[in-house]
Amino acid sequence: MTEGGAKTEELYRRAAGEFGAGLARLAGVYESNPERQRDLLQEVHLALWRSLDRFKGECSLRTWVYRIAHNVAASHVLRERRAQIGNWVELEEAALMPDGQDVETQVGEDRIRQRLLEMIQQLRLPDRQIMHLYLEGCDAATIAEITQFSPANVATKIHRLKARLARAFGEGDAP
Amino acid sequence: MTDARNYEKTVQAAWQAEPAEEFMLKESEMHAQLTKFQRQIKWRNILEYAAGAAVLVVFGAYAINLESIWMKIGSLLLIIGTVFLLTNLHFRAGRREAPPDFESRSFYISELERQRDALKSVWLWYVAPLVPGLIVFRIGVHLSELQSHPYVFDAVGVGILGLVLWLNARAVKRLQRKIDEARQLLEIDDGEA
Repeated sequence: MTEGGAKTEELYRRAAGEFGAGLARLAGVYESNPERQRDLLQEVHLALWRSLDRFKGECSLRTWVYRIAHNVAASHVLRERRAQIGNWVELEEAALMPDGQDVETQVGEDRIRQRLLEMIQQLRLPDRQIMHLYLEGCDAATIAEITQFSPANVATKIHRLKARLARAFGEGDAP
Repeated sequence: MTDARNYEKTVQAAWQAEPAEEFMLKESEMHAQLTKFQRQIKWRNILEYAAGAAVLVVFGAYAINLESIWMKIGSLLLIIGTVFLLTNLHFRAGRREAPPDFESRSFYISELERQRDALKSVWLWYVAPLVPGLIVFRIGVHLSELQSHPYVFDAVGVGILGLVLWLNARAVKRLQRKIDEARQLLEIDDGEA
């Protein structure tokens, strides 16, 4: 293997090690069928490997990894046309668990995750990207860098997302 | 009741707690996939170059052996046209071997646009270079009275050419629809890269 190839492999192993779980969750966000989810995950990893020789450290590895992953996943959805594109909605319209229910009364983390997944899979692609990255713990600036959306746009969407989740998990309907 | 300010941490923690099966491509899997891509491109190129080589051999033999000056000149023009076509094919296929620009939000759209543009221009770099040679050669066939029903073959030839161009035009429209839909779904403006 060439020196460049060895470096790419090392970088890939680091990326897959640090962000592998997030990438697996990302595959679930874009593909509900388990078999095709695995195909998508493989596609993402393959694209990541192929792209890493272009990574020169101009952004963090996390930004690079998630940017590649979201782009590949979005193109997978558009290419496969398995999702019902016409039914995708914006953040405010996505259905979630009943408003006002305190998170402690929910049946564990599994239930919360399932409900979040049901919501995120209804969303239009840009909102889906933002919600996924928010749930992965990225702040607004990082999300804007990864998605290449304007910071103002991202801030507005996160504000709406937080309001939506606060109504679902907080102390009743927000004014 | 959970403090609404803590809901964010709780929701994020629940999301990230999902047990994930470890997934990492092995080097052998990676190389198998890359080899598969390269093999597909290689075989497509081999078929196209083989067809071009066959044209060069056949019309090279015609240029040497046929008596009609029109057919000789037509053969030479077809050889030149074929070399031009193969050269174009080489440069266009060469660009296909580079991995897509995955870090660009619109890389999928760029791929579709490249396919669309290649099809749109196929009449220019694939069909047009062969037309002068075909016409001159055809004149030679006519003057040599080698065919008993020349106009039937002309009609069939023009028909095939027309069909190829029509199918290409339909494919271009289909690709354009996919591009417009992708732009809309990804919320990418026309001015964006």
